[in-house]
Amino acid sequence: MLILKTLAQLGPMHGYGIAQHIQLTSEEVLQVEEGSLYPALQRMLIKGWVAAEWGQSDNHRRARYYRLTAPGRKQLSVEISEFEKVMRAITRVIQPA
Amino acid sequence: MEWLDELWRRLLFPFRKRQFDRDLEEEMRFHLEMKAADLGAAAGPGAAAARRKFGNVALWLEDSRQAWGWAGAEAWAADVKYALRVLGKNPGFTAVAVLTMALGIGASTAVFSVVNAVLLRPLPFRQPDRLMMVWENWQKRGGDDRTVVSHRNFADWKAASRSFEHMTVFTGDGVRWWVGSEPVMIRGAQVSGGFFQELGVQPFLGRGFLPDEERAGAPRVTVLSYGLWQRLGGDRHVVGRSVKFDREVVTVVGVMPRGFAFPSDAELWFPFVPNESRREEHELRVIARLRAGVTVAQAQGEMQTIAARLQREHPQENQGIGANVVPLLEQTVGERRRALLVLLGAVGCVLLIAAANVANLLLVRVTGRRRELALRLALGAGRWRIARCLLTESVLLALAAGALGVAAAYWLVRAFVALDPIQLPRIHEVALDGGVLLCAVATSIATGLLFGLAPALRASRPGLANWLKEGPGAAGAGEFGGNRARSWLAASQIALAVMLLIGAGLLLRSFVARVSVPLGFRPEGVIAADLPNYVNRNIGDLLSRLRALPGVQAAGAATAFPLDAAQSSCGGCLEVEGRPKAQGEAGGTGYMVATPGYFPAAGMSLERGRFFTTSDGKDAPMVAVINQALARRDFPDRDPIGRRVRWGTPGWATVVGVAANVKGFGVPGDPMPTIYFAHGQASWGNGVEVLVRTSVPPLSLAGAVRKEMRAWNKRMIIGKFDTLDNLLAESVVVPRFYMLLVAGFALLALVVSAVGVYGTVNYSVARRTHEIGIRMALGAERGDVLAMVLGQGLRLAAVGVALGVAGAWVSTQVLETLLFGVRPTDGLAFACGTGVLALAVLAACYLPALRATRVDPLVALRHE
Repeated sequence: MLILKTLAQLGPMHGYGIAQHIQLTSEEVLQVEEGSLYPALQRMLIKGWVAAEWGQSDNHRRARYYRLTAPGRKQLSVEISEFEKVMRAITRVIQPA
Repeated sequence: MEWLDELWRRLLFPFRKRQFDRDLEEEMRFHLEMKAADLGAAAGPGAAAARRKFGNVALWLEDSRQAWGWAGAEAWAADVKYALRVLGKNPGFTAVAVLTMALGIGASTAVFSVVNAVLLRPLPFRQPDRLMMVWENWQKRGGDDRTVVSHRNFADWKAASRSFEHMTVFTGDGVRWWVGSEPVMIRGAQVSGGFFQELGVQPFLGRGFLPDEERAGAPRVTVLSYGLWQRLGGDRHVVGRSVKFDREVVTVVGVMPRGFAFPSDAELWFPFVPNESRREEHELRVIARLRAGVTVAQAQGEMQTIAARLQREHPQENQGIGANVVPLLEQTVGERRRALLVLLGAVGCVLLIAAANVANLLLVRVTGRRRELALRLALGAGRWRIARCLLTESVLLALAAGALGVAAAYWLVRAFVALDPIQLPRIHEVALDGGVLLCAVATSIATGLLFGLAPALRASRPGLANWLKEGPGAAGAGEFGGNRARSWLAASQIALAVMLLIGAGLLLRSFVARVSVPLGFRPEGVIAADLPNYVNRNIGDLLSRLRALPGVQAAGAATAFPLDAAQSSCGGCLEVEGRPKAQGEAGGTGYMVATPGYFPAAGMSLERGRFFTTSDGKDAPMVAVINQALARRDFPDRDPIGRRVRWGTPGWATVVGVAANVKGFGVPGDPMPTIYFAHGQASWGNGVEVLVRTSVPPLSLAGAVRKEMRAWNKRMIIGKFDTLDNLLAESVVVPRFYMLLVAGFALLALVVSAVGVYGTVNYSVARRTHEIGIRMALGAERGDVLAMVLGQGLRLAAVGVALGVAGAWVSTQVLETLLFGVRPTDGLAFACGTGVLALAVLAACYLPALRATRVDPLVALRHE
């Protein structure tokens, strides 16, 4: 979900950019091994949620850019609504009565 | 359709893998460099930090690949490739492991294929589990007595019973057939209407019998077996033609399909023609098909009720006669079931011992490979992956062993079927078929997993990384866990071997007891021949011709061989003068007729009085000889000589002699009380069993004896023709076979487990070289070291023997019915079994112990 959302916000981005973005926006709370991003991206490629193509990075290096596809967008909205549902439920449970 | 896409993608992936890897690696490198640049200097601490943050590059690569391709299958393939390489690098280890397992798998596959064919596979008839044999049950002979049925009783059963769809009878029959100038019997059976339909087997050519053909006086017709049809030329137009057997001409109406043999020795079938027989003539076998939904117990209940009614209606003829319904499979397999299951158990023990041995070998190896394994763990291999790698190795070993074992089993089974040493029922159905093969493969994989499990678990245990830090020599206390696993394996091997040894000991003792019963006659130097009943009238003629042969000491004939019980017996037939007739089983007496020459030819000894002489002929006063058992029972306090007895005749016979008891192997205590009447004075009744005692080796005279018999009567069929010694040996061939087989398994188990103990102790000595060196440097004597190592082996043995004795105590109970003259808890067998094993363990420990005493402390300490 985080990857899809990042791509939705930033548009096409390379792996490193996605990792940086997630880390910065989550204020470094979400610390995962950055490498785990790549297997996840590959799985999304297979499912067709993202598409990839090689391009030039800001510092003129070859980098693979990922962008959100239409099914990916749909998946994102599904996941967000799922997530919100769960969040709401959790919030209700932990709210003092 | 999604799975199709997926399949396509996965299939294509291997071709794109190169490109994929290059792309991914570049992408990750880009990531790392950017990160490093962000964190600081491109080289040095920045790069390291970037790497730390990123995680294991190889692992992520692998993980990404897995999403696309056949990662699982590829890993397996890699495992297999790796395992093959490892196994190939250690040909010695591989050969030992494969051979050990092949032994276990081969032996158990061979035994299982026999058990499968004989016990498990359904009989080759339609719905065979509904087929029953129905017998008369003569209550005085016990609850499971199975006696042939009289036709009157069968007719009443058939009319009254509701439990069966069909009920038919069959009885033995045969035709004479010439092989050159030698007549032989082709065995067949007379069968009543609907016999083939009831079994559910259709003739392959022609038809079965018609009701019209079951009348007296109908032209003789026959159905041939496939084998006999082939021997007669295999003509497809044989139906309707007539075939001449000796003097008998019969018309063939059908041919049964290949493999149909029921009763098992029948080669042709005739219609059963009922005659007005008496109710007392018991001669038929009854086969019946249970109606759907009726259980065996229900049928038994109904038949018992009918039999009880017949007892009331015919108190004279049917007194004490019930009915006994026996499933056909049980009838066919009979008492072989238990023996086969015992063999299966024994061979299972051998398999387990072999598996334990290989597990031990693997454990040793995994300890030797711990640095390699630790390295792989450190490089990111999952623990499951390592375990899987080791399991792959052991399963590969087991499969190789399985292939070898199955090949061995194939030859074993073929040889066994060809020899058929114990006349097993259904022997021709024994084969290595798909089911058995499947079972062998399953056994291989299961044992592979079983013996691979211990090392795999051990290797994948956390803390393995510590191994990496250890130097090659720094072993000892830390290895305790591994040692314990190995010790338990060795102890359980010993336990299984003890059980087998004790079982073999029991069977051996039982066999010795069986063949050391006093026979009462001298079997050596005697030719025995079985002639048809009808030659008895002028048998004296043949006997004098035989006596005239050079080298013949004595020749005689009787109604039974001395090793067999009298072929007819009766309770209440023998009458002693001046005493009321004894009734029932207590008065059961064997009836024999013998010529004067029979007693010296058999080498029987005389207790009192005399045997028959040539003057005890037809017109002389009737005389009888009784055996000791009869003398003891009926004349306990008086001299039987001169007393008069009779057997359903008006005249009395005078007892002139008491013969020593004679009996065959395996008869406990006294044989049946038996009376001998003189040939010519009593009706013969059974076959004519001729004995010829020779003063030269009997086999050298066999040809002459046979020729003489043939010259005397060209047409008679000579049944058994062998030395008496061989007939005796034949009578114990089955128990001997089981004993030899179990003893063979036990020996195998002994050797394999001794090797296992040797391996365990030897390895532990090797690992403790350092420690032993220190001990010796500190002043331990050689004797102390020897005692220490032997003590370790003996501790193993003690645990194993204790477990094994306990196991044997429980499991030898199943041997009870197979044993003769020995109790299943026989002390001597237990003592010998454990003793032999203890010796083997000591021997197995001795070499490593000796090596331990030769440890040079200086060398051992410098070894570090």
